[in-house]
Amino acid sequence: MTPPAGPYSSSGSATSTDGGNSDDLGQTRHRILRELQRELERHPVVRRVTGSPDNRYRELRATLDPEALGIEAETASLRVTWWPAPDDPEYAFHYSDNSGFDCGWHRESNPHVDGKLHYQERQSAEESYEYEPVSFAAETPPRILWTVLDRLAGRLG
Amino acid sequence: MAPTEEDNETAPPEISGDAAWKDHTTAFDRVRSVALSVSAPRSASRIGDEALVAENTARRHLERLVDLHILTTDTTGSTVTYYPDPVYIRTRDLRELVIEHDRDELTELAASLKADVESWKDDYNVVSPDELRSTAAGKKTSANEAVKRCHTASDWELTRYRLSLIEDALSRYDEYSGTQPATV
Repeated sequence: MTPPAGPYSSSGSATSTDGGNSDDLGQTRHRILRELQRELERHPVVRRVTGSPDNRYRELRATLDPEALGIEAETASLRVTWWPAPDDPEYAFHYSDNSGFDCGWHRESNPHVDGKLHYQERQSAEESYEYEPVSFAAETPPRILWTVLDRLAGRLG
Repeated sequence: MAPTEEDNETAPPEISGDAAWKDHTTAFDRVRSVALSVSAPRSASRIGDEALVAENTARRHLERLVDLHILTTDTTGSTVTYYPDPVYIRTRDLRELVIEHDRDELTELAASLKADVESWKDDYNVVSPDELRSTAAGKKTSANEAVKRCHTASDWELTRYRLSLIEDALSRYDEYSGTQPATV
């Protein structure tokens, strides 16, 4: 058996420049984003995924296939980011297309809704968002991603 | 590998998104994906629930991943828990960097990331992500600003991890990007 390795244990000599703990948080977030990228690439509505901005990998940008989504817009994309915490992660899956419509499932504090997890949408950038609380059975990034893409198809359809 | 009937035979009730996920993955894919995206050590039961497989199936796949040194286990508690092996993750991330970028691109990326770190130090007058996070809890910080600071601290940690990978990759680029010499 290998020794226990929790999320805050040391992650190797090359990351020891200033402390180690925070480097592991960086690795954890990077690891989750990479796993979300792999999962996005498996989904039939996704054409390609890049680390954003400019290969910094703070979030993912997925280019979606409008035909597979059954929408009239010519371009559609999904922005994905994740801030890990064992029992209280924050994340955002935000869709937009060139009709001006955008919407997203976010788990983060927002003055417009009670609780962290909510859905928000607006018909164009000139309008204000409408918010509603939602809930997911899923708890982990890959399953939440598939849940979100399923709900997105429902919202667009 | 195409998903098979056997992979999906012990499925919990369907809910939205789960059916499509199962259509496009095997049980092993899902166990691997859940196990590699946790942010704290988790039991086979909990990983199985999220991966839409029975606990025994989850455990079988998790043990394969432990054998490959992709996961580590903690056997000190009453339940065995699994967590990604940080050494495996780091090595894999290094490999992906040298596959995705040539030496010049890595040099350029390192310069951009260092500039980001310098601008955070200047903007917030702090020297580390931990210090930035501690300023978010200050009484004078508004709720919005506190969230922004915590997210920036997280970006900083991510950036620091990427920088450490890139520095490692650049110092041994030929070794990491090379392929095994052919043997006859």
